[in-house]
Amino acid sequence: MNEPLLHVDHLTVAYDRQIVVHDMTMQVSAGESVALIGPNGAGKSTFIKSVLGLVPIHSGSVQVLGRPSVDMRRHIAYVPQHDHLDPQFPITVQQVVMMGRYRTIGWMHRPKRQDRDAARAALQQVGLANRAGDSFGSLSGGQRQRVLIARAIAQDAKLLLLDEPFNGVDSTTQDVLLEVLSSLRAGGAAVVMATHDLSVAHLACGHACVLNRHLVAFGPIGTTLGSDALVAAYGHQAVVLAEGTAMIHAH
Amino acid sequence: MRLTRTLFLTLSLTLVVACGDSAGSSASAAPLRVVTTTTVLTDFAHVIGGDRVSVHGVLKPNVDPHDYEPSAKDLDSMRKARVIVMNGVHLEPWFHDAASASGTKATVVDASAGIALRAADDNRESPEGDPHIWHDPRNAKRMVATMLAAFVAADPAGAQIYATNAAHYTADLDALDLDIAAQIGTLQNKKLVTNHDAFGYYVDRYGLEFVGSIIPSFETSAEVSASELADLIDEVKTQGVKAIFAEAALPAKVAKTIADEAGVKVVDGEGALYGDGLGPSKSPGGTYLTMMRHNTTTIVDNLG
Amino acid sequence: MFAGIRLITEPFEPPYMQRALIAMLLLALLAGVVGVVVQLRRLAFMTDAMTHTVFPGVAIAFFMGDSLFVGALIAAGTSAVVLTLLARHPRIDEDALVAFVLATFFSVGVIVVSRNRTFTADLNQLLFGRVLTISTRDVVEIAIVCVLCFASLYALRKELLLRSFDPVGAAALGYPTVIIDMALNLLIALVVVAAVRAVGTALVVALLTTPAATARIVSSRITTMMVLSCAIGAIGGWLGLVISYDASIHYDVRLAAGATTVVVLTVAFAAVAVAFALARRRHARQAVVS
Repeated sequence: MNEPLLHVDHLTVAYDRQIVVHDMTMQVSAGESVALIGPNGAGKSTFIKSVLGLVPIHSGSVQVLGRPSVDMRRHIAYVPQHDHLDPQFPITVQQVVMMGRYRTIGWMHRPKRQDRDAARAALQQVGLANRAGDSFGSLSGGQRQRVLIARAIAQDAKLLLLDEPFNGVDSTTQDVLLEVLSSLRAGGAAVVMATHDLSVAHLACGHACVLNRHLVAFGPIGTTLGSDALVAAYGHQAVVLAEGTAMIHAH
Repeated sequence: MRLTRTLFLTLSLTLVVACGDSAGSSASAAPLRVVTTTTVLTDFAHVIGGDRVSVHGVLKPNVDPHDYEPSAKDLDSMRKARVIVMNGVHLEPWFHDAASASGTKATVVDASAGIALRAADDNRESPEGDPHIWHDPRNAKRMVATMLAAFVAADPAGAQIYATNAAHYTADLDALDLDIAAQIGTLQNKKLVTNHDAFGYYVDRYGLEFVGSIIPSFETSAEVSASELADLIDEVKTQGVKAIFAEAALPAKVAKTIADEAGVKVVDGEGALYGDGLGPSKSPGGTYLTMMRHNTTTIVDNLG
Repeated sequence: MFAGIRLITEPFEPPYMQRALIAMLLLALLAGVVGVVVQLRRLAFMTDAMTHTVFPGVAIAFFMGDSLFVGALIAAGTSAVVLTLLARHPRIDEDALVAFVLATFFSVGVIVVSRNRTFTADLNQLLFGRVLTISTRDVVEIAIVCVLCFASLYALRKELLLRSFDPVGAAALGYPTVIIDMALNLLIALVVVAAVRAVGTALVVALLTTPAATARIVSSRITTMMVLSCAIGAIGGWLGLVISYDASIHYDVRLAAGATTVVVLTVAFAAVAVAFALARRRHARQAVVS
């Protein structure tokens, strides 16, 4: 992998007059996945939002496929946590997944055959094809998270940004997620996943990016998630187990 | 159901016809449907028409003629009427919309036809002039004449009866005019302050001196302006006004306040004046004649 | 039985009642559909603000003798733009801001109206409407607004759905959410404008919120909600006219048609809410027993 899919260059993001991300540099290539690790307030969400253009960039740049990320949002799929969405909202599973196709469909046009096929295929991939007509809120938390993943699959994006997708989900969902992420990577997509669960990070991702407002460490997951990095990021929350390994204590 | 209703109506009409009535006029056909806007016009319509007419008065006593929203019943009555009488001079701004909405085919009579109008001093929202034309009995006679012509045109068979009624009433109006002139003539201090500018025609006819009114407008729903009020209080003190007259239809609070500030008497409550129309039927202002006499007596008693 | 039929047909014999009915039915349709969108977007307060902010434009148009419609349109457009832009400012508390804007606009409107000394009648008409004296032209204007609104909503339905359900997601996909919000606020403003002649600016909020809220209790599918909402609004409007007509003609009691409609809609909402709450309780009890 040569040309990086996502290239973050000396990125500084301010939010509410405070610097939240300071001078961050990293890249992700096609087929790679990066676990974004750090305590609350470390800037993980802010970083993701800055890639999506939801918060303005103070200095530096974020590029996707060589162009500013805000111009490439059609190719970036954002997967929020399932509980950020209102389960009472009268919408079906199928409608949620179809949202991934909206940019392809365009303003004022209707979904075509290929859009419906893509949505169905995406639901199948997460094992919820039989729930397509059900209301979104009638699904469990984990199932809803899978629907949101399906939405991202349907979008056929080059870069996926996931916000703590393994939070509070059942084991079926976890398995499905891992499988999906792996297949997306095989298809050439890049994945950036914010998480605080180190074991999941090891399972799902090849790289780690440890943040605590600034970049603490970035590199292959095996070497990067060492005790030094974690202590630097988490401070007293990190518990050093043995030479080179640590775990994070309490959330 | 239509059949039964029609039968019932015919039966009751026949009964009415058969019994006749004490006024001496026999209604051999259905009554002439008339709609009037103001209470004064309603009174005139009853007087001229007697039992030959069925009158629906839109405005009820103590209702501001400006601030009125026509009801379904009003529109329905207009739709079914043959003659509609309105005051004119922009007293009823809701009238034209209501008339056209009702789809009425009636003859619309403007009672102010032929009457010399008083202009507004500073005609902001009343470019047509002062609409309170009825306060001069000579104008009232003109209005009656206009209405008479309309009734006769709509119901020629009743011409005799209408003319007789109108003639009697005109004589009453002449007598009223003389009476008022005589009474006002006895006053030394003729300085008049009222609630709003309703009495222009009365003042002009009988030679009173109009000092001002609390709401210097032809409409009672206008707001009191602080500076104009202060000016009025000064005028009251300087010119030696004896009493301030509130209106029966309106709360007397503001009048009281001024009376206190200026140190003069306020005439309110039962004894107040009728500016915008007649009062309820049992009140001293229930008919045009009683209303005019009441106003006169009140003014003379308090300024004398 | 005949008396019952008479109740249904008699009020609508006169042409002015027919026009009033058509106007109310069209408004029920319009407010029913837009009302559901308002509900989904949680815009009830914004809608209330809109009715107050449209007021000065309506007042100005009224006194300039222009078509109420044009003045109201301009005011509605301005207020929609202003409210949309201000609501997006991250530092200002949105509710407080909206409340501030609506109070200001409304006061401006009252000042405009009060410059004319005789303002109580005019205020009355603008706030509560005069459905009985609605003209054919007014009805046509409402119909045009209906067509405009439906066409716009249909064209933008995907984007509105996304923006309502997942505003962050909409922004993340690169949608200019300002435009979507502005479009919706303009549509709401248009509904207020259409309704001003019939029910006035004060009551149109009820038309936009109550039928949709009632429909929401019954169904959680958007299309069903819209159909129900329109039906409820239509029945409310029709009943409001029938009741106020009957009261006036047969009992000489004045009941404003617009306000009566609102009361009918509220009663319907209460009845449905209670019925469903009871049914739910019975279900729960049965489930426990079995």
